[in-house]
Amino acid sequence: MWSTIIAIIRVQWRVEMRQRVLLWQVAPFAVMALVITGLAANARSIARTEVGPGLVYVVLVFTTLLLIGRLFSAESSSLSSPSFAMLAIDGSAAYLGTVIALAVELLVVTGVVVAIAGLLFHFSAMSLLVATPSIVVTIIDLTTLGVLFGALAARPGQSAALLPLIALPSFTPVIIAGERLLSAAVTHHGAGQWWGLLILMSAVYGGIGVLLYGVIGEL
Amino acid sequence: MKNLWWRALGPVTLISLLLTGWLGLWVTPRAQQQGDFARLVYLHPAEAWVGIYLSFGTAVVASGLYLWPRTRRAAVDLVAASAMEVSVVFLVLTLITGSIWGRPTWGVWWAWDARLTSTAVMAVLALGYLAYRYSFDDPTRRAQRSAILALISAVNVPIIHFSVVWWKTLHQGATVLTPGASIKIHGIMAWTMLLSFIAFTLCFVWMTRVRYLIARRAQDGARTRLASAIAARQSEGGV
Repeated sequence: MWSTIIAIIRVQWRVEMRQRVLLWQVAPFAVMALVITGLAANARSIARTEVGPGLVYVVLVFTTLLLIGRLFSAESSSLSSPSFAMLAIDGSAAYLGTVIALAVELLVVTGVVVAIAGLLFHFSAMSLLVATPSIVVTIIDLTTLGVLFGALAARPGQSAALLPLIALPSFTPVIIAGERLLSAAVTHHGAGQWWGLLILMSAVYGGIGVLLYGVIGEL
Repeated sequence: MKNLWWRALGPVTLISLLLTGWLGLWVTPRAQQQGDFARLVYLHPAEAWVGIYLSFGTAVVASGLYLWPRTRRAAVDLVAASAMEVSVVFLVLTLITGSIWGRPTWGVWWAWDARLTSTAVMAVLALGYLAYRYSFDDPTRRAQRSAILALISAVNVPIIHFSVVWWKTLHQGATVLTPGASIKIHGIMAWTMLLSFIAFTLCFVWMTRVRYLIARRAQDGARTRLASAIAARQSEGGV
């Protein structure tokens, strides 16, 4: 199982190293989206520490959807998905490998977004450091859920609007919990109960993904 | 006997809805604080019961039955789809009547309240299911994948609900199902509210059945057209 996970992670990262989409397309998109949403929310006002955490997660959600849409459109348009089934690769290993590879890619973009957000919305370095564990767990949640919905939505000729439509409602608790924890770190308030929700989401959707990813791929 | 029951369902539903309307609008008294707007209590909670719990629950149970090999039938899949369509209708009605009730109570048409927000998210969830479902041409793949999506969404419904409640709420507490079982509605108002729940439950059963019959006829029609097209092609080739 571990060899399959590592092989899938290596394949995903090798594709990224060759194409450099994360660096040249996704990261600039995320930064631009952050600036535009900041302008739209009039974040120059005194309320920037209130709106900033929410805007960071809005941008990260759209970035997640972009990365997952790209990953599964590449797989469904090539022969890679059928070849997984034909090679009898374990579905749960394929799921975990994809989640880990994508989570690391997303964490790289998140690092850039959070650093820029710190400058734009005047978050202190200390508060961002405090928020780092919650950001990491939130990104893992988004990836765990996103890969599951990406697999469901993946089909040749599938509309790009379908993935956000089916995934966004399920992202809602993750966005709320992530935003609350980042806000708590920025404003130095406690928000302990949201940790429980984030960990529950990881466990529940990680479990569902491990059980169903292979089944979904065969349908 | 079974057919008679189904035939009687439509008129019984209509009578119960009309009776609820008559009791709610003319017989029950005005509320002390909210005046006539309180009459929405005979509409809004019953719609929410059907949209959030009954229809969505039926769709999820039917999806689970479809995925279970022993109970896998095309009819079960059609029931899931029909119930989800009814769920969308009642979720939208819940949002509309909630908004109408919220305007005099809170002073705004929309408040970022926990129940409003979670109901809106559920409406999008149900719409997403339908959009996903109708993006497939192959009926077997459509049924299997939609059933999986319904079950995954069902797992998320309580999480969405509690996350939004923790986030913030303005909404009034439960009127009937209170934690200490102290019912806050009495007399003719309580009976009218109970009747509204029965009427809307009947309405759900009737709407789901009608939608199911339409979907089944469409499926049968597609099969017949395919069979006749194959037969026509074979006769052209002299097979």
